[in-house]
Amino acid sequence: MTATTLPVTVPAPARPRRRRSVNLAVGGALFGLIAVIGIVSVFWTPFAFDDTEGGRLQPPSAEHWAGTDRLGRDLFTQLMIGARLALAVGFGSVAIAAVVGISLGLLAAIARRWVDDAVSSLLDIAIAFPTLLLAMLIVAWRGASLESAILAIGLAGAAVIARLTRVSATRVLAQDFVTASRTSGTSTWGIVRLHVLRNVWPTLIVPLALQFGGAVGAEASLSYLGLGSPPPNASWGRMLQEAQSTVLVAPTAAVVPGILLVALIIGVNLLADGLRDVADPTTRSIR
Amino acid sequence: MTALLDLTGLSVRIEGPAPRTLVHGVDVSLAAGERLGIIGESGSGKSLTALAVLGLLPYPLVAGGSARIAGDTGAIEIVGTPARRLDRVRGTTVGAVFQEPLASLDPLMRVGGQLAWPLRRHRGLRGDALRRAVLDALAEVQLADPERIARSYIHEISGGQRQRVAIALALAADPQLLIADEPTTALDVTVQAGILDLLQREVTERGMSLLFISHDLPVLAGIADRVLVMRGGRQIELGATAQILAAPVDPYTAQLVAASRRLDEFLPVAESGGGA
Amino acid sequence: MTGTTSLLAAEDVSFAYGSAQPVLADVSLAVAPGASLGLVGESGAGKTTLLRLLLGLAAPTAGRVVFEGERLDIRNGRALRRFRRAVQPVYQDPFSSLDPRMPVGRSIAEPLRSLRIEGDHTARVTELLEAVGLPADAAERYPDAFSGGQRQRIAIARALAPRPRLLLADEPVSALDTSVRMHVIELLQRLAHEQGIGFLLVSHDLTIVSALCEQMAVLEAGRIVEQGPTRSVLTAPAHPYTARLLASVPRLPAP
Repeated sequence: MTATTLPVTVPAPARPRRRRSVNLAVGGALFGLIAVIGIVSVFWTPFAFDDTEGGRLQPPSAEHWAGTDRLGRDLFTQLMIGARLALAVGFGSVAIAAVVGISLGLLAAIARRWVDDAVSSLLDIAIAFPTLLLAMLIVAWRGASLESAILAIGLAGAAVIARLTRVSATRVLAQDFVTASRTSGTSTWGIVRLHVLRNVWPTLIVPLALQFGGAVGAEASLSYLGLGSPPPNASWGRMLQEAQSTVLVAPTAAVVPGILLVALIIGVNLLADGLRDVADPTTRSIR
Repeated sequence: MTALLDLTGLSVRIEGPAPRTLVHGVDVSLAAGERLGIIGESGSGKSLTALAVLGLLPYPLVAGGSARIAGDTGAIEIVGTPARRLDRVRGTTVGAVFQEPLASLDPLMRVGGQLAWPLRRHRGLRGDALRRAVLDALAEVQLADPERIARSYIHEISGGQRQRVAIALALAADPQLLIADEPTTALDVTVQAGILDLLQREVTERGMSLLFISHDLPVLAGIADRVLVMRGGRQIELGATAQILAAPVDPYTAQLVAASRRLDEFLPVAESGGGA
Repeated sequence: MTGTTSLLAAEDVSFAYGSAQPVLADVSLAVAPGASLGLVGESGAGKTTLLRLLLGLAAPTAGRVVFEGERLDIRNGRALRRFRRAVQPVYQDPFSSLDPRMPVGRSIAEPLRSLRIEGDHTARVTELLEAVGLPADAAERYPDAFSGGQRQRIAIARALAPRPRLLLADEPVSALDTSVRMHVIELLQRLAHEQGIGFLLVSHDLTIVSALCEQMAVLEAGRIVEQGPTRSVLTAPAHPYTARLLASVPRLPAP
């Protein structure tokens, strides 16, 4: 049976009080704040995006809370729209990574040996392939746009998710309850739907949450390099790139997008850590 | 007569935000050459007790009370003693065999190499003498073809052979007390009989004490002089084996004995007066 | 005993992985409707493989598995479904035979769904839980709320759902505590008596086989070495391996 256990299982401690949810709380706060800004931007921003009446490179004022950029556009507006874009990239690419990755992983786990080998080799190559290079290829093919960026980042993330899914699914498929399901007359597809997905899903929550942060950072890099959605978009990465040359004159424009980027990524990572703490199984067996 | 092993209020707790007691205090003494069996069902705390005596409780478990071992080098208190000092006791005074030999043997080292370690360390053997001692140790646990076994990795030999190697390892430093925690539970019944015979023989020939833990009353009855019954982390009853079987005092013990008897009765009366 | 009167039988069944040594060779046994057969063997004897073949999870490399007088073709969906309604397994490990993330009631109802059995599934689940001595509200809970013995009862309830005529049990009580074993054995005996369900019990434990099976067969290294009524085999074993098995069982001293 369990070949490498010590001869004892540590029984579950009574549910610990929520001390460990500091991660969850802080992460949730950071993420929530930026999410709210992004959502609000759909309905309202202080100025229209392309309103260039504000005067160029103005410092923060009562009218322009974060000042203006070199074209006279309100920075706060851009930051808000940038938040919305960052969330779209995060959710979009995680969704792609999840759908493509889980499908491939399941396929590799249930298919015949050679299919599994073929898919695994493909995944190894995909994982070794640098995300940025993949993104550039996709951009060259489809043209620079938000969709291209999301697609590229999503596919790059899918490979890792596929690997994790494959390992987890294989383990689940070896369990007696799967055999019992077969003898209950359930089809292979039924087994995947009824048993494999629900047992594999918990191991994927945290990696997917972490991918969110990675995706946001990746998109910022792409935009910084000019490969993201072309102007006029409001990616924080593009804002950083534009503000570079004028950093001494208008520091706000160069610093604030960066701070928000870091805040969002740290927030999501802490959230992921917090999820892991909370979702921890109640039994800790010393294996 | 000082006892070899003396447990006084030995307890096991989980420390931390939600502390719990898993073993509520065990009191028993084991004399030199005596064989004590601990019987209990799952969750009884019998294995934890064994680990506490060895000072091997995994974090976050902590032992309380007292477990004194009076070896050749003087008495030592196990509870609360740092691991470094316990290392001197483990192997030389106390040896242990566990249920799953795959857990106590190194999968990356050949059998001969693993056995050489304690022999080199405790008996100071080197070179040819060491090699011969390894082969002798393997032969002593009735492994045929000791040379081949010594060259093998543990996954290359059978479960029964592995357990014999684990026993050889436990006996290598000539301990005075052997703790065996469900040593045959994971083995086939014919193999089990051989291992139990081996343990009996070794313990007798070396004049060792034995602490044998099992959930299986017939197995225990064949090897232990006294039986300690545990349930839910508590000591329920302690007495001579024959007495526990014939006239158990505690209702739980009575129920355990009755259940074992009913199962035992399904088999025809043994022709030659008992198996094992 | 094979052929027309048996419910499930193996006829000269062999199994090997590729060109390796066969795991099973020329195994023949049969279970009549309502009868009980114990299959005894140690690890490596091929019990697990034989069980897989008898459950229709794999096909023999030689010989055939016969269900109700006809060869079992596991590629025939309809025949397989009919087979599964009649023959159900009970597994050894109560901790891995139930999906930990599915409420127990759904696990029990799964054969009803997958085998397209009509009727009120919820009511049937309640009925099954009662039959194994568990309360109806157990259906909402998850497996980790139950002890090993209780989980085994739930697994038995699941096996009983499609009203099978034969249970194939793989070491059904060996993972359980001694005091609980008798209860599960008694449950199985009662079911056999009340509903005329037969057993094919696979175990290394002669005690269990003796308790539950009128007939027994001994499997050694992929071959049946002895077969016959349990009483006779155990009181006067013909084959030396059987004798050795019997002699190895630890016994309580006579009272």
